[in-house]
Amino acid sequence: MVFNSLQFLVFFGIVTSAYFLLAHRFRWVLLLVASCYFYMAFQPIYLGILGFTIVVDYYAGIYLERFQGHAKKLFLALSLLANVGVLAVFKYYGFFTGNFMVAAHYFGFDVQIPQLSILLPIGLSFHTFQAMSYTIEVYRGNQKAERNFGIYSLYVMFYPQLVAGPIERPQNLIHQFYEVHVWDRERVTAGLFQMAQGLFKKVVIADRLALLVDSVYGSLAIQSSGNLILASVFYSFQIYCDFSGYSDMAIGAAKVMGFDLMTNFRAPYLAKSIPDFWRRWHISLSTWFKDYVYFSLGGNRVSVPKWYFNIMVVFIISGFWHGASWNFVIWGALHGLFQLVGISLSRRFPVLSPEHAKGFYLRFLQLWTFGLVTFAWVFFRLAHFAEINLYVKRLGVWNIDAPLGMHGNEIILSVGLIVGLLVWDHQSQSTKRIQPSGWLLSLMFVAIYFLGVFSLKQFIYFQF
Amino acid sequence: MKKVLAFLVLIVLLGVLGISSSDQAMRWISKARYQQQGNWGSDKYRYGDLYGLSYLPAFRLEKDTSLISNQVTFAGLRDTDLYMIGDSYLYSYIQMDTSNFVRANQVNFRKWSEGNDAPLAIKPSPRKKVLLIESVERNIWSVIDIMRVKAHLEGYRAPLTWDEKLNACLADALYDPQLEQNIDFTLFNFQALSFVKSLKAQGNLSLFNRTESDVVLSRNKQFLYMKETVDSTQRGSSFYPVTSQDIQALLEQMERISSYAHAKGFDDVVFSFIPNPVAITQTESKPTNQLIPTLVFANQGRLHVVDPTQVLTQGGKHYFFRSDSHWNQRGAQAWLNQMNQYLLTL
Repeated sequence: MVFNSLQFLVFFGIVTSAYFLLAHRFRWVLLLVASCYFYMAFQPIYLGILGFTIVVDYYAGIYLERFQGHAKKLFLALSLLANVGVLAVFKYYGFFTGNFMVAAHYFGFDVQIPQLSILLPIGLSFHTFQAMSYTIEVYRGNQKAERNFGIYSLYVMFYPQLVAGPIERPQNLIHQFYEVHVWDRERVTAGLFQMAQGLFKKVVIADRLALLVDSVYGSLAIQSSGNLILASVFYSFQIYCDFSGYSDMAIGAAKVMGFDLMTNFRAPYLAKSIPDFWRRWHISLSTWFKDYVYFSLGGNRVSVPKWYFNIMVVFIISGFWHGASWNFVIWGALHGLFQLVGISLSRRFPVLSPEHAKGFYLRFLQLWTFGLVTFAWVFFRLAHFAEINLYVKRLGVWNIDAPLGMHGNEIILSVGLIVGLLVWDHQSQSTKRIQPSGWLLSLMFVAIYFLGVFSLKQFIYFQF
Repeated sequence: MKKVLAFLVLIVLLGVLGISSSDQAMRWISKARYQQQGNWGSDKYRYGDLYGLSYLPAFRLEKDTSLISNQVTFAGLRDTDLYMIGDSYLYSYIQMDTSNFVRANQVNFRKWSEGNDAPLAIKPSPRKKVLLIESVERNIWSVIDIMRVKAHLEGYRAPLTWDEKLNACLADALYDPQLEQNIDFTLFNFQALSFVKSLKAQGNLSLFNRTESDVVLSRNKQFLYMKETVDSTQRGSSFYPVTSQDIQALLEQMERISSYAHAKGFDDVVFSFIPNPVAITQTESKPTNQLIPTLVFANQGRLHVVDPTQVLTQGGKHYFFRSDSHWNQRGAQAWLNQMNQYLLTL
């Protein structure tokens, strides 16, 4: 069940109205049942995988609290092993065995490893990371082990953020299930407004840009440099609107019921450097990596070479988190490399540091950062080396007749929407934010209907 | 007051979900809306199925939905039992009974879309048993498959692993695969809303030269086509490149189907493939893949095929309804005449 479907509209209406009608003590049961139903709409049987990690981590949490020393470490290791094991089997098995067979063949050995013909459970990387964050926080003593199995299950399965985040921390979410949420008109309006904003981003901007992006990337062999650059820029905004649109809908849906989920995007294309971009893009994941991987490796409180090594490791893992494919690894490595170059330049030429950039220099840095991010997205979008190779070759071809798959007027509208989005993002950072209201919400729904491209297109990040 | 409002919302939405999840309720609601002419009626299929997807006002053309019946006055011996597996090109246009087929003592029709719980049983009789396998061009690749035919003739199901069985069982119990379309129909399919839908459709066409995603406007703007039949990247398209290996693979499946059906007790097996409208109307300025003529030529008369391509080409645009993915009654009649000609040769 995707957020941009009528099924979700009906589902959300039923769950939310029932939520406010029910007594507080039954609400978590309703949310848990609704979350199971929501997840089972994709592939019912994968609920079993989710159930496995929930049971493991629930007991791991309790034992982590009960034991100290080596035993405690052992339980943490077992829990992490179970979670990473699930990811390894369902997401990375094919990648590792496939690459192993290719490498063996290269060295003259014919090795055949049986392949698993299984579909990747939807949102696996998201809920697995959320589950791991629970056991790590219990281990660190920042979170008490949750004794109510239902509430713990709900922490992992809470439907608004189950399949594509934000990846929550237990300290932020679990206690909210115990709080009594009353109907608050302002809050409900704000939640619905955020949902409408997300839906607008998805169906009006992302799915419209996808018309051109899919057409150009789907016919690389006949494309020209101008089209490829336009498609790449459009893809940057498509993926942003697609993913932040999902996050907005998730955060908004939770807000309507009284829950606060963490912010996941903060105007990322206004970033003035790559580190700044990562403070604004997929914040719940980048902070996850920072808290649990980067700091565990020593962060920046180590020698400079080790610090650089830590940065590269984190970005490569982050790329790999997105998908079991080399293009994601390259994408992550590129971001790591951009970070290192940026840090080195700032250390050597402090005057160039983006921290205090203003005026024209600030705009230049924003544009430069956007250019780097867009360049890296090409590797995210193209899964095969042959395609990347073709893309690079066609960059050298100038042909104004190459098909764009989009009418000129629609390109103008798309560019207008992108500019509007940037203005909106800029505005949302200032104190003079547009306040949600009933009439604005109605206007938004009319705009969504008339400008929306309703193709029931899946959200890009669902595959992760 | 808030509780009352929440309760009302809950009841209404549970009602929508209940109706949209029930085949019986959807049949009832569809029938009621089609009978209604005013604002509360539905025009989703009244003006052609592609109008119902695109809502382009220029294609709001009243469609003749009557079934062809009583077309043959056959005085000869009715010595044939006709069994057919086919699609909406037949059952939506032709009354599937003996009044339309020469020599037919009984007509047993089964849709490709039907499940395999109640297969098409062969009834014992001394008469000749003829099996017709019919498909529109865009579906050939999926239905001309021995497993599909087996499923329809004996309820054969490909063996499932335990997890596939469990998954299918849970999915069946929890979700109607048509739920999204059904909710759309239940909530928004009223003539009163057609104006708004047409406004959006016309705006998209005028400003962006774009129709709804599953529908394509012909180059001369006279016909609507299913995108699947025109988009050369899709298998069902009349412009999808077809190789000699593809043709051989199809022929092989046809031969297997024919042998299997003969072994099941059929005396004759005949195939009939209906070209996609775009392959006949020739409105696009690019050559079609000639799938059906190539297949018929490669068959070299080994298997029986009723090929309406030539007859339909003669009638051209007159045999197709401009805002529908099917032919019209004239096209169906032309096919029926040809089929009866074939039955007379048996």
